This record gives sequence, C-alpha cells and structure tokens, in this order.
Amino acid sequence: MSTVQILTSDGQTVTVDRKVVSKAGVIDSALASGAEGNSPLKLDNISASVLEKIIEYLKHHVDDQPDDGEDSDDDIDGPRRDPIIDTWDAKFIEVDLELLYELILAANYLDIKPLLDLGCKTVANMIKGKTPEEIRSHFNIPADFTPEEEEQIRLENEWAEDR
Amino acid sequence: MTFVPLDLPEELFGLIIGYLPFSDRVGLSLVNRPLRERLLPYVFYQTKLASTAIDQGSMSDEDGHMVLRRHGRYACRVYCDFLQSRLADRDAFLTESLRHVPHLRRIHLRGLTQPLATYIPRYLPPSRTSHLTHLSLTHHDKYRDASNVSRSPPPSSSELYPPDRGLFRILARCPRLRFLELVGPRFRLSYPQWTQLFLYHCPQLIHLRTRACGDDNLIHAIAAALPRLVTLQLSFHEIEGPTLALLPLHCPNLRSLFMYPLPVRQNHLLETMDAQHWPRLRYLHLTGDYYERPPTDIAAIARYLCPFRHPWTNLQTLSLDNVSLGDLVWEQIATRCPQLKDVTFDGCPITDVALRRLLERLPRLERFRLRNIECELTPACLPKRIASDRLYHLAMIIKDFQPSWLFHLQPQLSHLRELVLFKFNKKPNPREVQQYFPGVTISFDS
Repeated sequence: MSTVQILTSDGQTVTVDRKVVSKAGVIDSALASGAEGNSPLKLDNISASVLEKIIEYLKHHVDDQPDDGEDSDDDIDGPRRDPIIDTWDAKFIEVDLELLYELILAANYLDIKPLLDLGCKTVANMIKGKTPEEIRSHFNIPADFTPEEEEQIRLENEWAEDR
Repeated sequence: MTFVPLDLPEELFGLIIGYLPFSDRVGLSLVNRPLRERLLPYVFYQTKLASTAIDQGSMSDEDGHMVLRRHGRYACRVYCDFLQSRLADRDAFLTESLRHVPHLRRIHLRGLTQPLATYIPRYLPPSRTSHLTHLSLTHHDKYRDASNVSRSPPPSSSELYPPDRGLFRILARCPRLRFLELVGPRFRLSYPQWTQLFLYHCPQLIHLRTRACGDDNLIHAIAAALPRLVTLQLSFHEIEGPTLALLPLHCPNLRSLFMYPLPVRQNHLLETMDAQHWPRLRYLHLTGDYYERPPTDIAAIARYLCPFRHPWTNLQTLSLDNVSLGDLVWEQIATRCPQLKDVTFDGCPITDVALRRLLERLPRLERFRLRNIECELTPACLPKRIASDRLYHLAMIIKDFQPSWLFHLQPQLSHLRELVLFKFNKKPNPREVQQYFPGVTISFDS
C-alpha cells in the first residue's frame, strides 16, 4: 500500500494512504507533479487534529464516484441544492462550531468538494427555520438594530423577492 | 459561541447562503448590521420594480425608487407586474426604475397590454438588451386566451395572431439570451423569424418556455436550427400531432421537457420518445388534457410503454398528470428510471401493486407525491421496506389512504421532513401521526 507523509501546521507528520489522500484535489495535483519528493507534503494552515478528521471523512468516501459536474437547471429556477445529509455524514459532522469552521476552510483549501458541501449544508441547517431572535439567541449575537431600523428593513425587504 | 458564516470568506459565505431558502436569507438579514450588509447581494439579487405599498397607493411613485437607489446595484433580475400595478404613469416609472439597476441580466414583465414594438424599446434600449440573459414576457390576457386554445378543437390558423414584428425586433437585440419565456397567444413568429433568431441573433439560447403561443412554426424551427436546446416547455400549444414527433429526433441535448396538454391521440411523440434520443434528459413532465378524460383502452395505455422501453439513466424528475398507465408501465418506470429523485403523479389511477413496486425499487427517491382521490388503495400498497433512505417529502393525497399504514416504515423514514395527507381524511388523529413522526411537518391538502 502506497503512503504519503504530510507535515501539518503544528509540526506533526501524519502518514496517510495515498489513495485516500488523493481524494483531496490539491494533494492529488501535488502528488501528480511529484511535489513531495523525499520530504513530507507541507500543509501550513491545517493542524493535525483537523487533518485526522478529514482523513476519517476521506477514508469513508474513498470509493465514491465524483459527480458528473453537469450543470443543473439552476440558472432558471434558482438554487435548488440537495438538502439531504447521509446518516454517516450527519454523525461525522456533529462537531463543535470551531472545528466545523476549520473543516470548511480546510475542505475549501484542499479542494474536497463533498466535504465543503457537507460543512456548508450543516451551517445552513443551523439557521433554517429560525427567526432573527432565535438566531441571535442560538449564536449569542447581540441585537444592534433600533426598532425603527428594523421596521425600515422590513419595508425594504418587500422589494426583494424569490420567484 | 462564534457565528461561523460571518467569519468565513465571501466565497464560502455565499455557498452557505445558497443552501438557505429566500425566507431564511431575509430572516438572517434582520439579525444584526454586519449580517445585513453581507446579505444585501443575496436578498436583493432579485427585485420587484414596485412594492405592494406603491400598488396600493400608500407610497408615492417617487418614494418607490428609494429602495432601488439604495440596493438596485445588487439586482440582476427584476420583475414587474403591470396587472397588479396602480401606477399613475407606468412608462415613466419603469424607465426610471431600470436606471437604478445597472447590472440587469434578467427581466420578467407580466401583464403587457400594447404591441411590444411601441414601448418596450423605451425601457430596454439596445444598450440594455445586449446584456440580457433571461427574458420573460407575459401578455395580460394569458388566462383567457390560454384556456381557449387548450380546448379542442383548436382554433383554425386564421384565428391565430399573426407574427409579431415587435417581438422579433426585441429578441434580435438580445445576443446573450439563454432563457426565453413567452406567455400569451400574441407572441407568435414565423418559421423564418424563429430560425433567424436561433441561428444568428440569439446563438446562446438554450432554454425556451412558451404558453399559448407554441405552434408548428416554432417546432419546425427548433428541429431545423436549435439542436442545442436544453429546456423546452410547451403548454396550451397549437401544434399538429405529427409535428411533435420531430422533437425527440432533433433535440439530442434536451434535459428538461414539460408539455401540456399531451395530445391523447394522433401524435407520435410517445412512440418516438426514447431514452436513446434524449440520453441527458433529467426532467420530464407530461400532462394530459384536463378537458378530456384520459383514455383507458389498452391501446392508449400501451403507448406509454414506448418511452420506457430503454432505461433513462439520468432522469431525476418525473411528473405525470392526468394520464392512465397500466401496471406494466408502472413496472417499467420502477425498473428503468433508477436515478429518480422527485416523482409526482397527479390524477393518474394507480393500484396497490404499482405503488408498492415504485417504493420498493427506486433507490434515490427524495420527494414522492401522489394525488388521486379516486384511487382505491389498501395497506398492501406499501412495501415492507422502501428502497430509498433519502425520502424527505411524502405526499399521499388519496381519499382512503390511512396514515397508520406508514407506521411500520417509520424507522426507514429518518430523513422525512414533510408529510402531506388528504384534507378530509384525518383518521387517525393528526396528533397520533405526529407522535410517530416527531419533527415532521404534517399538512393536509385536497
């Protein structure tokens, strides 16, 4: 089994199955260009704990086929993305907000689209169906609108619409 | 606790917002000032040119431009409904409104009353139409005219509106047009006009929706000059049956087809509709004529075997309204459309066996809607195990369907979020249903 060594931002070296880690577009490109040579691949902005979590995800999805990449009819009907999260993925992404934030950034940096989508869906699901007050309460965000401003915004929003 | 989206770069923030329905975007924009600022492009990307406050007279026309002055720079789609509007001077209002929308790409105008050539160029000079990618025009009398032309026998050719030169002139100035929607019987063009548009003036057009104005000229022009077509909607159309058979042979890139009404006889569309002609088709919506009962003779039903003789490997959405299918056709749908995610059967008689087959054989099903209050189903209509573990919307709007029949499937319906049941059948008590499906929104429809 071919492996790859990765040096994380906190100075740890992690050894990973090459097939697994190649699911990350950036690493796949680096390996294809022979960038690792005899030294570990350096990931300056990903810590070992985040990388291990990502490897757990990639191992589970190592045999998944990539999407065909064909555009949907979104440009007609607006965004209509798949809101479903698989059971395993839902369990995997049950992490604290700080790690969720790190995972989204890392998935974007490493070009792991399914993990990026999973992170974004999870955040969106935390917001869906909540009132502004509930969102403030859930995320501990202080309100800074005066009642007059809030009324003004509600009036302005009348012009915006989704069809 | 940190609020994740606010700290993310713009690109990732946009991805998250993309998963939010519009109402949640608006709600989020009311949380605090930083979020409001960041969400403005996602809230005002589509903007009305007049709000209800103006339409109802509680705000002056002049005030009506205030919001567009502030946020019009975010708008790329605008929508204006002349039918609802009570504006004193609509021409002036619209002209002024569009000045505040510098990035206009899509425009929807509903309730047009005069010949297009006389006034649209005032709002949309060539400098604006040259950037349009989407254009939707609806004539004010669409409902009256649309219902007229949907009845048989169709009006003779002498009763149809003549080709609209104004429409041709406008479309000829839209070189980037990708989406065109025309609603109303006045929007007719001749075969040479359509062909010129498809070949020379609108070379990027790939999505075409028509209501009440699709005719033989249009279909012949599509067959001759629009092989790139991706989306086609024909409703209340006036097209000779045999002409429809040209579509499968000449539109190999079609991904989305909506047709109402589907002529019940004297057409060869179903016979020529084949997965091998439309390998990319993802969305198929066929509707029988509501003014005719669907034929139930064996020959008529057997025609529906034709479209499903080969597997549709990409079909994700199937919607059939007011057509009669035999058990063999249902069986074919269940086995030859493995990618189906979204299924709607409205007014289609279905049996226990057919429904059971669909649910136990479609592995990717996410939305399943069945509406036919005449169906006589029993508990045997549901399988012991459904094939999909992704179902999140289930609508069983059937008179005799008992929600309790679903209880044994509850462990498999962990993703279910919406359950719609027949309005006048509330046995058992909705509260009891809710106990079995906590967290599921249960609603009633007829």
